[in-house]
Amino acid sequence: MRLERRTAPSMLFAVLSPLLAVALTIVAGLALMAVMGKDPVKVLEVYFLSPFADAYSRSELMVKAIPLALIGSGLALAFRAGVFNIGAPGQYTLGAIFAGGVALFAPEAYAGLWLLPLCMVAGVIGGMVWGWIPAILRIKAGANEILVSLMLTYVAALLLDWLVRGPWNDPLGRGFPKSASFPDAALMPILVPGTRLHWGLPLAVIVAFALWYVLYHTRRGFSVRTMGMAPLAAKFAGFSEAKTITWVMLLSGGLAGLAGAVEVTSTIQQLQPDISAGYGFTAIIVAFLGRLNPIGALIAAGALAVTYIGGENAQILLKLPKNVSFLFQGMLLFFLLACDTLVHYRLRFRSRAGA
Amino acid sequence: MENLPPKVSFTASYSIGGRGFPVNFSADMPPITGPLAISARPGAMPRRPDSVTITYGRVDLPSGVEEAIPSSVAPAKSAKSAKSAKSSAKPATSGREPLPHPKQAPPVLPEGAGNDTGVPPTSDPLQSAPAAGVAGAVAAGVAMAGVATAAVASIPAEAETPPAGDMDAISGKRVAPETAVPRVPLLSIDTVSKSFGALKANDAVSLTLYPGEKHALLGENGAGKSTLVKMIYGVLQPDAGRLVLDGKPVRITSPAMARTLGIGMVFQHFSTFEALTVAENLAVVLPDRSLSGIRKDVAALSKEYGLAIEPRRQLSTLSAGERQRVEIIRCLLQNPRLLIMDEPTSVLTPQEAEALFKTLDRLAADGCAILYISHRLEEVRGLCDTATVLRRGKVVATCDPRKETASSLAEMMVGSVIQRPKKTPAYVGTARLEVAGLSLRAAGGQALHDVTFSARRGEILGIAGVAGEGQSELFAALSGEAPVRKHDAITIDGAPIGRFSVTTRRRMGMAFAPERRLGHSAIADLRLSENYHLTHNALGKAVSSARKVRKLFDVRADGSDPFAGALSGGNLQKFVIGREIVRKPGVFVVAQPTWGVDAGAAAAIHAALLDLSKDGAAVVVISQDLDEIFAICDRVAVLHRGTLSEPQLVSNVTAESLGLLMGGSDANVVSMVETGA
Repeated sequence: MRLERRTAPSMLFAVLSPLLAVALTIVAGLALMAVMGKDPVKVLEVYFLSPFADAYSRSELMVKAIPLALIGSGLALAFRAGVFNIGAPGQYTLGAIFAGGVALFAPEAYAGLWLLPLCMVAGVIGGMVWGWIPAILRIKAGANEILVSLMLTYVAALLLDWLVRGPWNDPLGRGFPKSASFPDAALMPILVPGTRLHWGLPLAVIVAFALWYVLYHTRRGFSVRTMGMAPLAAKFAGFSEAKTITWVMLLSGGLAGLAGAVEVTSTIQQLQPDISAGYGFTAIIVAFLGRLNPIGALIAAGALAVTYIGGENAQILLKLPKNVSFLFQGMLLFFLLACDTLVHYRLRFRSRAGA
Repeated sequence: MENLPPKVSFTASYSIGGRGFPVNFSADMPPITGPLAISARPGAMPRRPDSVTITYGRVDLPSGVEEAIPSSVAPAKSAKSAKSAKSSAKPATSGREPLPHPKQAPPVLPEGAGNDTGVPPTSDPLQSAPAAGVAGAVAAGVAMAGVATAAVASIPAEAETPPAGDMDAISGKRVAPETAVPRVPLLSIDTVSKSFGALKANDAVSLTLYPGEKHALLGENGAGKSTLVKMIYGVLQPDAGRLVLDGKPVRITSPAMARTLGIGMVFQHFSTFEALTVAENLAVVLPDRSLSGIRKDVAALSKEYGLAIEPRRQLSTLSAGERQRVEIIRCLLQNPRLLIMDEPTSVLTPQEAEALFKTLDRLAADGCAILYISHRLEEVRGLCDTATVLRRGKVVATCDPRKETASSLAEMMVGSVIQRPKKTPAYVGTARLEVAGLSLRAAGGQALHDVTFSARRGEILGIAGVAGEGQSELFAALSGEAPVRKHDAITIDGAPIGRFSVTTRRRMGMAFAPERRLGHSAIADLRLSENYHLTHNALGKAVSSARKVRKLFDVRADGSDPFAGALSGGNLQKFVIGREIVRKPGVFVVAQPTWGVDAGAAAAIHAALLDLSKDGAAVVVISQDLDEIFAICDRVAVLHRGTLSEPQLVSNVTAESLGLLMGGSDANVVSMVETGA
């Protein structure tokens, strides 16, 4: 058995590979559970079926999928350009801080209905600022954007921590590291009454489709794709590398910031040290699972949301540690990258007899 | 015998149209030891001489003129043809009686022996033929190397060969130890097939290699040459058929195994460590050898085969030709019996190539078989004694390239007559592209020093040079991928553009086609329509149909809009060139337009460039291929270490004069040619 390069990338496997990866992840995960002494059938049910069992669980799935889709579709574009923005958690945090700042300190009387949109814009700007720093350092100083954006993640987390313990601490919060609750005008309206599902869902869907259009039907998107596939050819086509890097970092950072703003104005409704549940890193998997295609990322966000809800359920019902969710996510990325080989290569089986 | 005047002279006489033409040369020689053979490459001689006389001191040496080895079909060659070669090898000296067959007891050269004795001392030439102990191969004067061969003189001292300096007086004369030709195959490739998916890369290919044979493997791109070679070198395994080495079937499962079996390969691109010395680089691939031992062997080999190389030099200081010598030495250190050379001259100046041929001749004379892959037909005609032509994975002919013309070989490769575009003097007008005093610092590449030239309306300007002399830097400066600070260093139709981007330059009527097809001028994973968009988006037009380009330039591929990666090199290059030509550029800068492209596509591309220039464009062709420069260019300049020579009319230059410029004229290349052989 060996690998042979295909003359053209396989469309079939581009679609099949994520499904294959999901299947392999489930099989390997269940085998692992069996080794740990858990009943694989039970794990399968709790982990992968219970999130779909009732309407509330399904709405919660979508709630988790919203930030994943927003960040993941932006990252898909950045990765397409060969710009590895690993700092989405930091950009998400900055977005949350900016949005929270507006929500907490904008005079509500003047802002009125505009307060929520202002929060969103502030969140986008916050994420862009955090995305722009690695971009400019790569362009001007040749600094590796992977390292810079990753390190900025910790800066952002500590900044948020300091804010909620210090200047933005809720005076009535009895010393808990929290800000005051946001005013109602800054909260994201609920989409389906009786659930936590909010208007972030249509926002994420619109963003994904808009990015898909940009990527495949505009000159800017073309420059992003060419730069990722062949930087020399992109330069030859007249696309500026610096401009493309800046653009995708601002875009992916801005969308991560937007996700942070959406999250704090919807489910959390205040600032606190822990606001992300690892969305920023999980979104990397979302982007790859979605074939670095924004619409693909939207679908992949739903799949990854299952590991969040399933993980919570497993924690309660099976006494499985929370980290099992991250284990499943990691395995998924691992299998996905392995399966992606089949897009460019085909497997050849040879009979031993012939050898 | 030490008293003998150290002089050898050589006379060949021709009769052409009833008149005799003698060709003479002489060379100072140290005392000869062992058999001496003088052979001439047929390509260097206008025709077979009628007779040859060789005098050593005042003693005539016996000599022989033999027929070229019968070409026919390879397998028919073996012992039978050895016999015929023997019978046809009538030793002859001009105006004298035929000499006795030189199979006598090793005599002593009498001091001051009279010249016309006709009975010179001789010895068995086989003594000197290493690894040639095969019976039936004894044919004095039979040399694969060439038409005229002379043997023999045996003097007990140390083996020496005459200096080549004087021998260059008759260009192309070779001196090599006599080799008998054992007609027992070293390697037989027996109806080997190999498929990749639906593509039959090799379809029942048979080929026989004899020791000491210089065997050319010809074919268009994609004809299956590299597949075949990879199977011999153990990189690929045949689907069907077998390889027979020394009469025994073998399965060569890895390059390491191929090397143990005595098969060496010199690749087109060398994988070496820049910061290490020559000896250290060799030690990397020969882990069980000591560095000092390697140094000693390198010194010995470079002396033996004229591969001038200093083992202590750092690799980064070596030219491409010198690096290739390192690669050859790497193979020789493993005592190959078969040496595979993949397009070896593509990185060499003509002089370096000439030195390489001498080395190969000498290797072959020592019994090493050489499988020589090249698309340069003249070169193959000059060097090789057998050629196997592949077309679409099948052997279409096995022939003696010396008896073919370049166009008949090209025809075999392509399967049809190629209409070579004719260069007609075009109307040459005012300068459209002017480069004045363009200098660039070396930012990890080659610096450019004060490059100045102009390309005029209606002309094709060639920029020659071996690889890595600043071509890519010059291309980037011209295309705007690397804009230059001095804005007026580059002007188009009088307007300075030095600081302008590639997009602005395109808008001003320039077009470019870089050397690398995939990854620079096109992207493998994009469809042709998207690839068309690559250089056309700047004009703000809609994605116009790539199909038009495909139709106009006969770009063949499956599907209505295939991925660029699915096209063959030739078809993709036609697309890349056509994509630029359809916009009717005023200035077209193209690098290596026909590099790695089959003959048919190359002819089409040349025709397109000629048409473009006739329509009033200025075309700049950056090329390492001198044949191409001579075929299509009006003027030519040579780029060497970032300095461009004065452009000259192509009609006023020769390959030799360009070659000297390409080697930097003063450089050691020349001295190497004179002393290295």
